[in-house]
Amino acid sequence: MTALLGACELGLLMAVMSLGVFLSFRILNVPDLTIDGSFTTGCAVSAVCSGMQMHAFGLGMAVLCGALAGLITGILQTKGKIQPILAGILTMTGLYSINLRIMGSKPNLFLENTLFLQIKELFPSSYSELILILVFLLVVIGILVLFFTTQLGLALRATGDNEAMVKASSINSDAMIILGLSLANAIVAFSGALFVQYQGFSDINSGTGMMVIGLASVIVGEVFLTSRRLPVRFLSVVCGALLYRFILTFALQLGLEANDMKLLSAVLVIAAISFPHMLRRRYHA
Amino acid sequence: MLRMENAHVVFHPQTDNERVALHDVDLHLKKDDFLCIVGGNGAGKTTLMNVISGTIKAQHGTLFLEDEDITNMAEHRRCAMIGRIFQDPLKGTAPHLTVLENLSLAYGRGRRSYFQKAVHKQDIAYFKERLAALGLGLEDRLDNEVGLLSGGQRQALTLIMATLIPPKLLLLDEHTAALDPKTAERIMQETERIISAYHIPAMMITHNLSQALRYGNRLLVMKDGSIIKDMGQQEKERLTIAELMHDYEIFS
Ligand SMILES: Nc1ncnc2c1ncn2[C@@H]1O[C@H](COP(=O)(O)OP(=O)(O)OP(=O)(O)O)[C@@H](O)[C@H]1O
Ligand SMILES: [Mg+2]
Repeated sequence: MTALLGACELGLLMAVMSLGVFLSFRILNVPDLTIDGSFTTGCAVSAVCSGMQMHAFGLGMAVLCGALAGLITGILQTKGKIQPILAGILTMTGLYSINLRIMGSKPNLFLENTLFLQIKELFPSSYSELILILVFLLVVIGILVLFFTTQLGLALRATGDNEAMVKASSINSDAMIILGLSLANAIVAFSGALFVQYQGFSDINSGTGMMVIGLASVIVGEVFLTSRRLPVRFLSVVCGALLYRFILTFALQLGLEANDMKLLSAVLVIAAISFPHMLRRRYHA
Repeated sequence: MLRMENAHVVFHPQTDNERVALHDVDLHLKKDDFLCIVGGNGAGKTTLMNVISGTIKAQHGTLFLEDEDITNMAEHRRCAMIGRIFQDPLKGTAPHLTVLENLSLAYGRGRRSYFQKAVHKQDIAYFKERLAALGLGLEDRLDNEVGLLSGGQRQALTLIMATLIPPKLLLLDEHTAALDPKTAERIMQETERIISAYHIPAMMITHNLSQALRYGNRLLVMKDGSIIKDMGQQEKERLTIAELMHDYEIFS
């Protein structure tokens, strides 16, 4: 039961992060590897702020710093004419040093007090963490849904779909890419901050593999729930993140070690992408 | 109206692949011009339009649109004034957005307020009216994803999108080439109707010589990056397809 609860909590945390991956990967159509770095940035900023007892402020700062990371990748891509994947890798690499600086050159920080501990004091229940994460997740989804009903949101979607058409409609597509990457990384850093508040410590390697987890969530979600409507697609990402976490938890219970999780993650993504294709080929052959 | 002077475009300069696509081209367009451009493959027709729309920057040369110097203006800012249909039918529309969303995006050209609603209900009647004039039944498919339409239908939709807000200049790059003959005829008539109804100066590239003779008040022939012939209304009316083919070796 506690394992299931923990899986739900972690799954929903990763759902927040995966929404950021969804934005860059699916909406903007850009594989953005900044994410591994900006997640850790969110962790680091949040941990440092919490050290000064400014938990909520830390969440806000994490969002800002994440947006800044995305901004840099976006500028590298559009103005610096660096290929999207490389631009992300460069930012991510640079962020490693910056993240270490933020954490005062310590590879990990442990927190005595966090937002989650405070909430638990206020509402003592074993579900208080889950509910808090759910609230944050719903806020993020709500903002995204609202955002995508505006002309700006539509322009962003169109940019990922057909850049030539977007320019011909007098929209600055470079600005859209920069904005989209900023938004995506802001969300990712926010989830990093929540992650730190939840588990009570920050590690310089927390972000490693986040891109793959995000991809897994997006793709596993799409295997089960696809739609043209964006709110449903957001929901699909959440389902994917939960499902992914359940599978990992199940594997752990079966006796796999924590160190095997990265391999399992990679295999899952491969399976989720390739399996549907292979099945289709068999039926159509 | 449009004044292009000395536009010179070289692709891959100073390499083995160097290619002069436009050779110091001068072009003046008057307020009511509907200009047809013909010329063989690789003559530089599309490049000429790319320079006007800002997709390609010329090595040198100047460009004025209604007395405004747009030589160094960014593409997306120029396109607030210039409507365009690409040679590639897939380029003008966003496939994963619906017909309505594509139209709504185009309807913001040059006057967008980003924080307004993406789609305004009160615009739909106007969109439907414009689509209905095409006679392709697209007005009943507003909620379809554009990727589900045929190439020809997408090209027709692009025509409406490009003129939803009448631009100061309309660029048509072989916009009926992907259509079946009947639809092509229909779209051409609709194009002419829109151009004269909204008084839009237009440039049209075509490989269809009878189309080039029938439509417009001026005809350019391009070859190897230069305009080798510029004919006015009267000259154009006397011309026959055979002469056009023969004289300028368009398809040599
Ligand atoms: N992006 C590019 N890079 C390199 N060379 C190019 C590029 N675009 C065009 N060219 C070259 O410039 C020349 C003119 O091309 P352009 O597309 O303007 O021809 P066109 O007259 O439109 O021909 P078509 O009738 O086939 O569309 C061609 O020789 C072409 O190879
Ligand atoms: Mg061409």
